[in-house]
Amino acid sequence: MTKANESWRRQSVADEAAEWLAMCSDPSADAADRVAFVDWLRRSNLHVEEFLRLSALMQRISGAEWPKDRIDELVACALESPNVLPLGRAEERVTVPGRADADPHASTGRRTAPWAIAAAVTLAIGAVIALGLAALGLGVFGEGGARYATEVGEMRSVVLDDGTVIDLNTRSSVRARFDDAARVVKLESGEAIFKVAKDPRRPFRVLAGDTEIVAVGTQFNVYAARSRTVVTVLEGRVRVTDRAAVPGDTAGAPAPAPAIELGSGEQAVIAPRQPIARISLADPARVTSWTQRRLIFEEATLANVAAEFARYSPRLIRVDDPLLAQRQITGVFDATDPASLVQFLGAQGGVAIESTGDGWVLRGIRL
Amino acid sequence: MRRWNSGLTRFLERRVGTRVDAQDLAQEVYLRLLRAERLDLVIEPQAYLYRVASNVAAEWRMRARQSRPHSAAELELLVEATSPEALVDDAIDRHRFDTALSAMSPMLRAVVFLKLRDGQTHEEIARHLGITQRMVRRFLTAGYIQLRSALLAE
Repeated sequence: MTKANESWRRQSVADEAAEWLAMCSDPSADAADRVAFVDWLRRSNLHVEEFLRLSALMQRISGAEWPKDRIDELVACALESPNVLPLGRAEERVTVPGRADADPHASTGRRTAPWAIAAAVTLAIGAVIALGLAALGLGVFGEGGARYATEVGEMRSVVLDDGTVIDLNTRSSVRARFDDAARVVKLESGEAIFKVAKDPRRPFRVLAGDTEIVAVGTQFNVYAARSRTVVTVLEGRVRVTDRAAVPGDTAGAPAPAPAIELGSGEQAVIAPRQPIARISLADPARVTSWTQRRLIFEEATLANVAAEFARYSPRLIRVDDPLLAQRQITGVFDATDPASLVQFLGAQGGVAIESTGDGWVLRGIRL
Repeated sequence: MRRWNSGLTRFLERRVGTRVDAQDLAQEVYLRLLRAERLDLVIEPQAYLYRVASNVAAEWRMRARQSRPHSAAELELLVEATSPEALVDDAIDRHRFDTALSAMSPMLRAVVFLKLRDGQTHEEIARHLGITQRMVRRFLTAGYIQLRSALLAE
């Protein structure tokens, strides 16, 4: 997404947030308004962010010191003036010079840089990442096609007939079936990045459980998790369809399955019985860090960190202490070396480490 | 407007040099909203959202204290949260606030004052100004947009 694009999108989301905040205090708002508001919130984390930001600002403004204008004077003034609702925003905005640098969200340079590099490497190839719900395959794919799989801790790259490259992460499998009209790859389990060769006549489809991702010349990473499918676009655009969703119960023709288009740096979460959710990622690089066999954690709980290591190594880290399981971990680790995490925790202190036959058991030490 | 956790307000609006920023917090709140079942049954979605956000902020502060009690950053955060300087930091920009208010049309200004300063309901504002509640809502939307642009400039 370009800087201008993102700035525009943020502004329009901010305007929507203002409408919803005004709705929330409106006694004539009804149940339909509330449902629409909740739908709006669940559509994007950016919506939640802007709404909370605006709410917090108005909360503080309410408590601030105001000009002492008397109510009757305010009202008299208002009644004398033409009752015109302001429409313009950009024109009327009070400009604040010298403020741009202070806002971490104003600059998108930090976000776009990694993908500028990726683009150089992959040329005209875009990038998408998806976490897939592969357990519930629809069966449309059948069992034909070439199958590629990796074991625990193994990663490998596969080059398909059309030049598409698939990087398979640990404990993953895909099945590819190409013909003259279509290129279809099914992610049966695990996670993979697809660097799709361009072919406008044959769109490239990835099936991960009930989720279908369609792209023409792009790159994507699909991860089959148990409970949901997450698709992240690193570059270019793709279309994501949730084929499990039940279309509206109308008398006419069946409505198409819910689908959204994702741009770079965007992620979609597809979970059963929920609308597709859109998330703008602050740091998409974390999603592909596995290609360097790195695991990057920023304030992740130890429970999640241990679960992530378990994907890459047969040696398990068990956390036998609820409080310790909630400890926040920030750091970069070698995915295939869980011992490095155990050492890291040992150095931090407060942890009793017990080696077992197939890994470690961790407990907190109460001081 | 509903009162809510002032610590959360600080999290959401502090702009530089924090480990936990509004974006991270909103992302966590968002994921919790996604996990919630039957959100359509929530009678007061705004209050529910604030509740979730306050919980997340409180949990994060608690964890931050538990996990690394000796780190300089944590001490700084704890000190910062209790010192008068933190309150000064949080004060809205006087000059920008005044400029934004005086740039408003008289009707918009009246709606914004009656709502945000005097805490009047939409019904009361509509009665005072002889306009419909629908218009109150539209003026209020415009007021929020102008105040945000002035005080949270990007």
